[in-house]
Amino acid sequence: MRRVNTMAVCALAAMATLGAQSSASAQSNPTYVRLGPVNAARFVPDEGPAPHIAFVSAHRTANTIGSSTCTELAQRGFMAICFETRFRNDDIGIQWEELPHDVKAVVDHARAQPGITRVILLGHSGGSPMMSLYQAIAENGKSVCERPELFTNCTDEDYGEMVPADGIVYPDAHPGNPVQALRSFNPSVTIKDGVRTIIPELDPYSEANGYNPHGSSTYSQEFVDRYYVAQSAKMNALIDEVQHKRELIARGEYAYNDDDLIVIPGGNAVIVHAAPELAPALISTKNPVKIMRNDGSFDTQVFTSVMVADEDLAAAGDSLNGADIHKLSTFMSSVAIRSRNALDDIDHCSTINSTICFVADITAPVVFMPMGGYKFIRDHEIMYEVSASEDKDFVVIEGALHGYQACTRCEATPGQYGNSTMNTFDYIRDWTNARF
Amino acid sequence: MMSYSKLACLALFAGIVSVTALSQANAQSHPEYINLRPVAAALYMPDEGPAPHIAFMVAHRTANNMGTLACSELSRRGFMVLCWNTRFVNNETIVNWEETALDVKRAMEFVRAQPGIDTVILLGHSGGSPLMGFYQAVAENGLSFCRGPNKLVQCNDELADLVPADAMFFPDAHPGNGVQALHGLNPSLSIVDEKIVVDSSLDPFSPDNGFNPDGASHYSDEFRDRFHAAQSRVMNAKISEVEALRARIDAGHHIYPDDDIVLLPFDAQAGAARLDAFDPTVPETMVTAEARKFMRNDGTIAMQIAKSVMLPKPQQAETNRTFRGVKVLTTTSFLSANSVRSTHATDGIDHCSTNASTNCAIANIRVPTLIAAMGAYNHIRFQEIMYEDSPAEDKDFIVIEGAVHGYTPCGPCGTTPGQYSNSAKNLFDYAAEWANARF
Repeated sequence: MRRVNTMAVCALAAMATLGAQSSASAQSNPTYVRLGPVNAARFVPDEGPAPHIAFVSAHRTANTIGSSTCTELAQRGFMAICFETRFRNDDIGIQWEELPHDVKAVVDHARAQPGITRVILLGHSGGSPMMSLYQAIAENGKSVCERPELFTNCTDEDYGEMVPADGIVYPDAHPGNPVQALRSFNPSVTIKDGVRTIIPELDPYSEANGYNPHGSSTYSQEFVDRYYVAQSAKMNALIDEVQHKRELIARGEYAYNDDDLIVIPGGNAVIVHAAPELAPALISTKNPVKIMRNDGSFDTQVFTSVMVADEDLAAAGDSLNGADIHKLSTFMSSVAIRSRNALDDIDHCSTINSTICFVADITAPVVFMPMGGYKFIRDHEIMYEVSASEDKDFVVIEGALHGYQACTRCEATPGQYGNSTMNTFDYIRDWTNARF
Repeated sequence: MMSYSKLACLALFAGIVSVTALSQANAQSHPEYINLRPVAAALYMPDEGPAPHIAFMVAHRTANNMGTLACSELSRRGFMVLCWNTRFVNNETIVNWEETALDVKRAMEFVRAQPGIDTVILLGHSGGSPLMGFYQAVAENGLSFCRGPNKLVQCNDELADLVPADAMFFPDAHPGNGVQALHGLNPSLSIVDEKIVVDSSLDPFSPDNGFNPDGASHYSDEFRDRFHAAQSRVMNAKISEVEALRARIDAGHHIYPDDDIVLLPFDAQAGAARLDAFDPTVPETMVTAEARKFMRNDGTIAMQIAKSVMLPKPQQAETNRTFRGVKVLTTTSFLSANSVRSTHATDGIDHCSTNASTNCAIANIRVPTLIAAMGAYNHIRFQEIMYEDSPAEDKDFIVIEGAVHGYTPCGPCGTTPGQYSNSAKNLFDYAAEWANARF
């Protein structure tokens, strides 16, 4: 569920902004295309030469068809196909291993369009691990998702022939939904037999621990360190619980013979949203990187995000809307990940839902583009470091939020980051046209 | 001998192939994607011929309807068709029923603004029937329709001043999500200490009660009556339980301040325990009470008692006890969309206790109304009741021979190949003529 969480609020805000932009710049007649369980819209430029490059964009569950991505790309001369997966609007039911079927349907459709010679995947947010899994399988075969260390695998899926994309762009990818879940868990909360229990020394919403509902929190470093370890412990305990229930089901010793629901209260307790400056390991690069400034110029330096703390992060902390709700099966395929520390000791390749794991298997040209007003800066740098591509690029878009729009709360002067969306898509255009 | 599960599978496959073939053959060339946030829509226009002045609107409360058969079939017959998805697409858990009317309103505003359109017809199929019915009933009658002491949930002022449609078309409407939930319940099962406990006197899957795992079951009048009364008891108990939970939440005495998960075990559509799924001869749902218009495969229309030719689905019994057979809801989606008060699941239903009721809505809709039941499914009698209760001066009811819920032919239901092959064509030809005769 988690309809009210930081990521969702951010995504909604982003979509609202993107939606507003899209009405102004919409291509005239995007064509609706139904591809089995997939809804897609095919955007083409209103004028100019027929495109030979098609972008394919989607999120695992959100409707991105109405976002600005496709209109921005079509305005720049590309065909762009935005689509909804079979799991549209359904975080409870998502079976990750089924998603490559949907990407394949759209890639095949794109390749079949007259004049199209190149297909590029766009992996944004929850679309990034999905596109990565498709491309890794297409380039390497199903073995990449059949490794024994994976919590779930794709052995039962028959994907048919999967044609790799010619390139991938990652504008604000995230490391994968399990990592997102791991860093969102509130390890201080448990609900058992209808009673909510809070461990005070792990409570991120306790002012005694440094929580500030009106701005950046002031947790001690010791609290932050303890918190990350506790998040991993919570994930590991949940994995044990789910695996135990699945064993009972397999033995016929459970009420249902196939699955059940698991509700994880207190999600959305993300340290970096409460206190960005206490998470330099996430919001800063380790090395000098290319930065696209608001005026379109570039420079190279170690970069730290300008993101600011969310206000009143605790508002949804107690609610059902803030809870993570999954089936046991979907928990294993979309949430479970091995770790010892939610910050920096994660086995990314224990899940098939991982951008970081699968970019290491992808050799197509790739560009990583973290948004400079958001939190995935170091995650992108790690993706860049582990990428197997010989043609890889990295650029930070100054002052952009997760949905590419300007972080106005981050600005020292109005309009300081006003070009962030334009810069994002101009960079994608130039990177693409330089290669294909 | 082929098993019934294989037959059912074949029927489904045949239906899919038929839908796909029909849809591909007749698909309009360029349905346009329309972003009506939070509604997503596809606009279908005729490829040729005069510009349409009549628009149909097609949607379901949660299913993906943007590429459904009605879109291409109606547009190729000269109409504009807006096929769209609500904000709750693909997620029954988060449904807040009364908000769905706002999505109909959004789509209605778009359609009314299209050049040349002077008539709008709402198409309510399956879960789209209470959706469209609810909108129209509120639009015609005002907020008093969706408020009152008998309602499980009250609507709010946002639903004031809705613009009504000019007509309603209900191809295989169902009585409402609450009734669907009621009919799906298995009152013989309960979970005690993580184990399923069975009351054998109410077990629909016991041969002692008439169940046949290899073919059509036959339940006695006495068993059906007992079973349907028990379904009502289970539903009423669940309503009381959830209303008490809701009260604790509202009073701030619950672990969550906003809502909580409500599980409705042994009820989801895939494993519903409705008796007509196993015994397709039960008169409560499968047969008209009076002689009605019956459109034969050759396009002729007879007046006769219409009986469904649907095949039994004994394999559904296995799903009933799985988690796939559980509806995952919240207090909101249960009370607003998946419950109804009753004393008896077939003839003692208080349809108007829920706003998610086609039967209640149609009883308050006065614009021209066409109700078309599919002759190989299980909503025949309830649609006849809708027709009986409709106050519209211009109303029509017809049963389409051999059609499954999605309008396509039920191949395995016939005795000869192609026996029902024209079902979808017949339905949409009839609807087109009905609309053109009036507007």
